[in-house]
Amino acid sequence: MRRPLGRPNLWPLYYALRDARLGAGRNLVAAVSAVLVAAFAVSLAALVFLGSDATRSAARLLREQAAMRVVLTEPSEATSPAGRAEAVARRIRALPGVASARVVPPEETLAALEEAFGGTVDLGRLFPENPFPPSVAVFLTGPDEAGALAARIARWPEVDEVVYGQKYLPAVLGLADFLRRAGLASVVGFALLGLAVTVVTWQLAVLSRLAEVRVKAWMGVSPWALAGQFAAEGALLGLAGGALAAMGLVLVVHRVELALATLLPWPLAPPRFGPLVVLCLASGTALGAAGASLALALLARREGVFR
Amino acid sequence: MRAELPGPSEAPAVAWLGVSHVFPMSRRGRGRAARPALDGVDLRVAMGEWVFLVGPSGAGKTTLLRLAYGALRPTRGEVRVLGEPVGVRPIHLLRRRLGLVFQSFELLPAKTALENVAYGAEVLGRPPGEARRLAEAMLSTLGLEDLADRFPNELSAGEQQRVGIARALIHRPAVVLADEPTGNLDLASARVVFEVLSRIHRLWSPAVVVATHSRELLAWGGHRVVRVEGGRIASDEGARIR
Ligand SMILES: Nc1ncnc2c1ncn2[C@@H]1O[C@H](COP(=O)(O)OP(=O)(O)O)[C@@H](O)[C@H]1O
Ligand SMILES: [Mg+2]
Repeated sequence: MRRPLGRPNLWPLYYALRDARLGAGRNLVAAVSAVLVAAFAVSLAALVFLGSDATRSAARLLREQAAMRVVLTEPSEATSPAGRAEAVARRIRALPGVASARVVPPEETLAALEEAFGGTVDLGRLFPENPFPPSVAVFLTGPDEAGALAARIARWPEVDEVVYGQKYLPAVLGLADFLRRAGLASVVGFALLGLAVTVVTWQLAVLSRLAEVRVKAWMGVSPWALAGQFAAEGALLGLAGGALAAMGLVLVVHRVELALATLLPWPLAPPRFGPLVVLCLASGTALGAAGASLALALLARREGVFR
Repeated sequence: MRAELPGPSEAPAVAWLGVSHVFPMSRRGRGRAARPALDGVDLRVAMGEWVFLVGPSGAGKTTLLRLAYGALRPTRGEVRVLGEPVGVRPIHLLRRRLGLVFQSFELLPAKTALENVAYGAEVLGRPPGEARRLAEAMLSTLGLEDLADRFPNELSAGEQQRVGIARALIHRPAVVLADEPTGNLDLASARVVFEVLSRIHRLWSPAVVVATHSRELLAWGGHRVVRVEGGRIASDEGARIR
């Protein structure tokens, strides 16, 4: 049984991988649920992370926003709406601190909305008479005078509303603050929930392999080696779940980003996919490893495997 | 510390030295006086010796064996296996030198008899080819080669236990501890299982301790019979050493 020093015995590793493969095949439902549970818990936690991250960067963007959208009232007299909008745009261009002003016709607003819905809705049929008033897209030379300029333009009779980033800043800052605090609590909650469900799932998997566990305990495999084997299996399946979650989230975030980019009058910072993917993979792996080894420990104790 | 430690040659295979064991009371039973499961047991099993542990259910046979393979620590006294006090080194290292056989067979259902026996060697880190050769040799020395390619659900209970024994003892341990190995079997199957154990005993002479409450098997073999009753040794017949 003794082998020469300096030559590590890699067969246990080979057998552990084989047993993991056979074990997953033995209870496929449990293996698949282990992946899905990890994916689900990781997605929930990551969404909270994303939401808090997004509001924080939104707040930063809003503060630096040098663009505004001037929405005009419905014309009451018989003047042409387009001509009236062009007149307002000209007056805005004359103001100090304004870099450019361009009339956005209602059709363009409708088309942008349709694109945001992924082209699935025919808004032209839904609203035969375009309900959107014309508006003027304004770019300033800097963000500092935005509040004062907006207030001045909003007083003009042709102007219904001035939409600009800093107007939403207090609300967004409040949301960011709330998400940071609630997010921490819910991440802990999702982690605990995910761990509980992972443990239950892995108990089913271990239960269907109790003979294997017993034989190993009888023949002198240490409790740590057994726990390590299941931790490694859990880590692999959890990693798969984390990867699944990462792919889903990247897709979702990408779609949301496209939609927001067409809806909002200001440019968005690109979402940080790197940390998101790392977070998903790491938390999925950790969840799987912890859940599987905890499940083994609980079952081994309950079934008296080592005693 | 003991004054005169036995030398390696005369060290018994298993020795229970003044062993008492009291199980901790369950929450509900707290307050009642705990009756010891074992009460001052002195028992030595020599290298290569075969011992039956008999006695009524609840006598303490299982507790004796569990102390020997390190699942329990005695409340008082000391247990030594192969000259080494149990519980000083990690228990799993001790178990690699033992062969444990239980009432349940625990064959892996997705493996053939041969693969199950080879699994025992794989668990101990032997390469696949060597594990397979060892398993083939083990099955043929025990006369079980015809079962090699069958799956557990194609074997009778007695056949399953014989395959289970081949797996548990594939590493040719010097000590075999068997707790009711025929507890799930009818008398005819039990006989065949004991024949397999006997063949192993002749093959490499391990010390064999078999706990059983089956009286019919005792006449069989002319082995030493230790009777346990109420946690004490009631009688000890046919011992080579006392
Ligand atoms: N885990 C345990 N907790 C409490 N009491 C136990 C436990 N295991 C065994 N006992 C008691 O110890 C005594 C001896 O049991 P055991 O060694 O299993 O007997 P045998 O194997 O001879 O039937 C019995 O009275 C039994 O009730
Ligand atoms: Mg018993």
